[in-house]
Amino acid sequence: MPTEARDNNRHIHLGKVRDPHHQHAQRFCSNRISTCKYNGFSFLPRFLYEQFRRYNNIFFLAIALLQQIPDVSPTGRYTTAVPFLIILSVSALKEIFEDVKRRRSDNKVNAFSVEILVDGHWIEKQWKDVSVGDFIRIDNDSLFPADLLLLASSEQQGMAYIETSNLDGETNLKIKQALDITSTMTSPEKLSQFESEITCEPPSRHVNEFNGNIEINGVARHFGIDQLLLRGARLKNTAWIFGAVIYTGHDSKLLMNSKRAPLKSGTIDVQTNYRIIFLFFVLVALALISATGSEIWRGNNIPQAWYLSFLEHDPKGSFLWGVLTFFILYNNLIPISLQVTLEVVRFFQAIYINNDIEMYDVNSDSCAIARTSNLNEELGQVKFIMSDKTGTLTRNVMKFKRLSIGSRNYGNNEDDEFADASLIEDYRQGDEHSTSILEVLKMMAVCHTVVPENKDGQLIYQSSSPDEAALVRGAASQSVSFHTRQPQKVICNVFGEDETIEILDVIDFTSDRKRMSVIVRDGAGGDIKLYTKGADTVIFERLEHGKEQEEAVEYCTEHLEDYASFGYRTLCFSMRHLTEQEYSQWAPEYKKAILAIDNRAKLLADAAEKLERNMILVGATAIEDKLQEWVPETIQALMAADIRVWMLTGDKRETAINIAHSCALCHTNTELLIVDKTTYEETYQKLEQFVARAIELEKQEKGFAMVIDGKSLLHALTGEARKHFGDLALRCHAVVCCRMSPMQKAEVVEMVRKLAKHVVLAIGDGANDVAMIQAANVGVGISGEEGLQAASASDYAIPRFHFLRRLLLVHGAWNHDRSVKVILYSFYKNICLYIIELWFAMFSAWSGQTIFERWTIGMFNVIFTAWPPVVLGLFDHPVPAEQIMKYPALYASFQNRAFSIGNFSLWIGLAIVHSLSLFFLTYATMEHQVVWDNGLTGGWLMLGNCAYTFVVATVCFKALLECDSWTWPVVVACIGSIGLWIVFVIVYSLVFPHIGGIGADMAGMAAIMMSSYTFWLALLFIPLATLLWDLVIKSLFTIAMPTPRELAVMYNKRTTSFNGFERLASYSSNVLENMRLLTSSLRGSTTGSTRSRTASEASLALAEQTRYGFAFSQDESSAVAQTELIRNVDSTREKPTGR
Amino acid sequence: MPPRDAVPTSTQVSGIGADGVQTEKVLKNRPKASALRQQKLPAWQPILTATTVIPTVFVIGAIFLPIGVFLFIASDAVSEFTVEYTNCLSPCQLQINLPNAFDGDVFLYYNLENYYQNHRRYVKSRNDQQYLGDLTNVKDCAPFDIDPATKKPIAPCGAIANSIFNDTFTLAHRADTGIVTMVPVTTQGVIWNVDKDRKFKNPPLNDGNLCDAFNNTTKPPNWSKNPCEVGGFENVDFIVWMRTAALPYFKKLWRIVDRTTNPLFSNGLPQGTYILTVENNYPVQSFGGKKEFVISTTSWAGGKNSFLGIAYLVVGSLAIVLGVVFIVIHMKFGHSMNELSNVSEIHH
Repeated sequence: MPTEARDNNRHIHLGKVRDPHHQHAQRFCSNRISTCKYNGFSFLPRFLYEQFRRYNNIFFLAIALLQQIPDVSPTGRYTTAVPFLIILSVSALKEIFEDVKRRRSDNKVNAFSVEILVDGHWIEKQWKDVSVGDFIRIDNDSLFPADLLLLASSEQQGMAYIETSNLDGETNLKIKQALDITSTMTSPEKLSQFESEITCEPPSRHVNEFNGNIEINGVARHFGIDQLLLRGARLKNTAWIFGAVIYTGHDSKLLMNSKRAPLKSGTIDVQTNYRIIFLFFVLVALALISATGSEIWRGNNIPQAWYLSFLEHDPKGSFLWGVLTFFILYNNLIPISLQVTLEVVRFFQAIYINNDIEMYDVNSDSCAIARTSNLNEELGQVKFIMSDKTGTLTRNVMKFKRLSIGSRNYGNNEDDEFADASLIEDYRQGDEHSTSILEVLKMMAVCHTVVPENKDGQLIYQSSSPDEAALVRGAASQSVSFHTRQPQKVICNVFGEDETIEILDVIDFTSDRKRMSVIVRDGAGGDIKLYTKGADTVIFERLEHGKEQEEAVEYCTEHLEDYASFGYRTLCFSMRHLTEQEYSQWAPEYKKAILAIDNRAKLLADAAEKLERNMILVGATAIEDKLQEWVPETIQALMAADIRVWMLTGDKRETAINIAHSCALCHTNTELLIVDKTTYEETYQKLEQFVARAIELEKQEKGFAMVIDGKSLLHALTGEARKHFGDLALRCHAVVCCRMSPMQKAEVVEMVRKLAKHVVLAIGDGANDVAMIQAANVGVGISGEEGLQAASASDYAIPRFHFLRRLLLVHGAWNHDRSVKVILYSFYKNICLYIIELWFAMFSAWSGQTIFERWTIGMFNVIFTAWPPVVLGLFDHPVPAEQIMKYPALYASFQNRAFSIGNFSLWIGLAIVHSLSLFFLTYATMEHQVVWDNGLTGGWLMLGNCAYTFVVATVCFKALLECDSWTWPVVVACIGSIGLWIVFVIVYSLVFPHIGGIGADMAGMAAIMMSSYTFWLALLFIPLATLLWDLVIKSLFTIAMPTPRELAVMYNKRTTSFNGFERLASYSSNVLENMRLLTSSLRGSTTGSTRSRTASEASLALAEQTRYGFAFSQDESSAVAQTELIRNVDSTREKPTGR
Repeated sequence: MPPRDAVPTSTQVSGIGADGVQTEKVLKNRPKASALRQQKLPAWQPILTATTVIPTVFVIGAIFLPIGVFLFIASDAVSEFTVEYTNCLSPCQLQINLPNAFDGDVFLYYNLENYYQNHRRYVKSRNDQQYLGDLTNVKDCAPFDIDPATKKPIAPCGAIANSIFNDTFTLAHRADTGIVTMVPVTTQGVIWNVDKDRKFKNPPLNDGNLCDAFNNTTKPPNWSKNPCEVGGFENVDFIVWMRTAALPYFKKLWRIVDRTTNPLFSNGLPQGTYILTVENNYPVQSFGGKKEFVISTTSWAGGKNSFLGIAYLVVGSLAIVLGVVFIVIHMKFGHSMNELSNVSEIHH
């Protein structure tokens, strides 16, 4: 044993030597995990740090501080500080709320139950109570709570199947095997007698490497990754395992690999920041201009204006003080409440997402969860979707669907599983064809590595390959049921009679061979047969020559094409009768190859090649990799919304292409551009060639898709090739990336993000997708069945893939439209009000005097116009949900309504025009000052309060005008805001002199203002006259160049017939383009099937392409080799209970 | 042998659904289907098509035009007479000819031009607490807070108070017969109630007279009289001056014609010649200011200002014109769109 003093290895005492009071030498972290951002102490500093990382908060803090300098602030000392504090506290409340939610979900995980060995008994405890050195028991289908050393299992020789799709995305089951010295401890009694010392490496992120020693009775044994069960993986097809806890909580490899979710900010936030910086410079410029004006005025008028002569030697009269004064005066050009309004709006938008009943999955009783709310509008800007395959697009459930034997094509596509009574009927005919049927069924039942298990009278098939299990189940459903496996033989029930078949040899599947063979001796006849199943290409070239086989291949190809068009995975079955002599010649050679050390793989392949020839084709099978619900429809809709969909998978290319077809990512007449080169030069050339091809295809308006594997991708992402790859990637509407490692997925996401400033959405379900989800602009996790890993790293979690359609098309498009409106509107209203100060400065000697009362200025954003943007952000529906779901092209058109510089300038321009109109109309109305029949004049605040009232009214009506759907909250908020101001003015007018000196200027102003008829008539006139131009321009555009949204709304309102709708659309070419998308998606959804096409067309288009995935998801380099696995299994043996 | 990897089917769920109690328990995460949560509130989608915008524009026109007419008539009915006296040497006499009778209440104003009563530092230099009687409270009044010589607080403090307008006017009617009658004026109704009730109060008298109450204060440097001699803080001219104007060209109510004392003026000011005598004290020439005396009546809409009425009329008419334009555009576009669709049909 290494000395404990020096190394940083982990030393763990197991079993009896572990005194409950005796601590480990090292302190290990607890198994409790926390993803919270704050705790009680860290809240304030962290929160403030987060807040003051934003420019605008620093800005307002500075303003609040500057206001403390006497005689500089035109608006008093607290008019920024108070609203700013209000706004910060709203943000703080939101942060606290969100952190509490995180804590709840952590607690849920921490409270999962697990059985821990205490004093020889299994005691149920919670995950968080698991500590290093504990013995725990995990039952089938349970998750491992920590990284464990596998000690024993219910299976022979301590084998255990685990599913690691959460960790690495590989869908096949992995086989782990306990060390032989521990695998016998299959009862708690034995385990509690067990004692040992473990030394292993310190916690690390490496998932595929692990080394340690276990010392039992002074004998040290090495153990590695084959004995390590990782947190996040799941036990499958194994009744139970015992494990010793090695790494807990944040030390476990899963959590070591999960980065803290990066703080993502949406593109809108970034753009808003730029706009704010722009406004800041405008503000500085205005302050400089105004201060210059002030200097000039002073030069001309002081000391001549004797009533102001006291300012002649005023120290605060210098230019710089003037700049400061105006800086404070105009500071509100930057909307103080924008951030918090957006936060509030997004918070509630997230609640909409969480509460959407149409994104609620009854089966798993879960809804969509918006885990971050600041990306809501990003959902409406998605240009790329990167989707994981297994668990996301597919359910990882294989179903045996079709069977081709000779000229007959059995089964149909409608049934959930193979169901065709004619198969059995044909078998009963007893002719040559029925022999083929029998052979195929037998092969399905025999040629595999599946282990049967009898559990409670039901047969359960355990397999590392779900495809094989599906075939065996399929055979069983057709009365050839495989039920017992012993080391040298299998027993099948063939049409009611048990038949023992001796397994002579197994030639393993490898990805080079693309086939697997078994050599059997048929129990009944004693014949030796070679059964080979594999990809059509490898089987066809190993068939007997002759007309008979050619004909069989012809039939088979036709059937395979049929299967492939539905995206089924296909396998060909062939066989050959061997003579005793032939076999006995071959067998020793093969044995030798198995035992060879050098060049073993090649020797084995060569040996296999000698036997696997002159075979006869007996049939082909089709397996459906069951898709999640509504996957093709969803993908079609997303592609119609002009989103590029990428499928990233760890699977083989054939499988991946297969799924791409079945989930409508590509169609049978989509040209596949397959990049599968191994060297950089070849990849480069291929890419270059494909870019040219893509351009050509674009011209011909033909569909194409890129298929690239992990290795080529490595080259494609380096150096010069990157450019071509990017070019191609942007042109392809569908891309399939196969054989990807989790890290590569993240790299691809990042690469695409860098290619162009497009929003990339990544969607996945497992821990292997976490990196990709975190790298994407928006990460979506599927939370359905287990929903721990991907969902907890994601920004949005949805229970079903097809909810993505609603999440993007409805929530995304709406939220984007709303948030943009909220932002633009916030800028608008602030500029509209506060730029009036500039106009007034011209009439107030550039002294920095405000036209409005100071607190009304401060409360503009916090009270009087706080609600219109909020309701715009929450209740505006640019287009009905049903409609955008039906016409996904609208989604693309909404992206154009984006937050562009043009749009921003338009709003700013409008704000300036409005403020000019409001100020000068008020000025002209009030210039004469006498607006009562009592002949009095109102003074300074009469002008200010009137102008303010007109601004509030205009701004609130503008919100209504911009709102695309008026619901009662919108109307109430907009009208109510005006009312709120009226109420405020009344109350504020009554304050003086009751509370200190507050409100002296305002005293009685409400009664004064409201007793003027002229005021009320101006209130009707000025806002309406200001907004009339908006109304006119808007309607001109709607009539002349309606946007797709407007067309859709009009269509919806049936103001035009469908014909008129198209006619309207044809008016502008831009609209036409959108309409083309819109109507094509409409047609697409009505005609539906693009699968109906002739076989010849397909074969023409796909001449050189490998389309049929062959059904093998076999783990090639597992702890236990396939042959060994078969040889070691005896399904008749009684299993220990582990209790 | 059933497949063991079957996903939960709908039958299972509906089976649960049959049992009411269990449904609630099992489907505890089901969102509530309220219209608010599901964003399904009844909504009206305003879309500015010809069919909605044309009536809107016409309605605006139909409302604005009559209002404009009423306002214009109201303003037109107001009589106003202005006379400038900036350079008139004190005591100066000006002859005024009112071409027609000023019926009803007649208001007498003074106008100041190019006078920045809205300068920030000027506006700020006041203390409303002092004007309520708290004589020592001179915060914010700098530099007119404490008299440097006597160290006593200035009352009323501040730059506004210091620069109070101090011209006085007398208006007399000269009949054709040559009889000159003083026009009786009153300060009743010259200030807002709020100023009288809540903003300007003299300090408590404590059995003495007002000047005793002001004893420990100094008058503002520009004032010729002690404030206590002219009514203290409740001085009407002072209160009017303290309501600072919003714009550098402003009007302040000086007096209202008293229609109760002399039957000649019971109906306002009759047509004819008047003599305005001004005690011209207030210097404005130095900064290019201008002083005017204004005689005016009012209507329900206030003084003479036809702007709003004309604006209503203009915008109202524009709205009608726009409505017509929209109809034309609508018809024209409908036509051209038909043609366009014909073209596209030919192409197909």
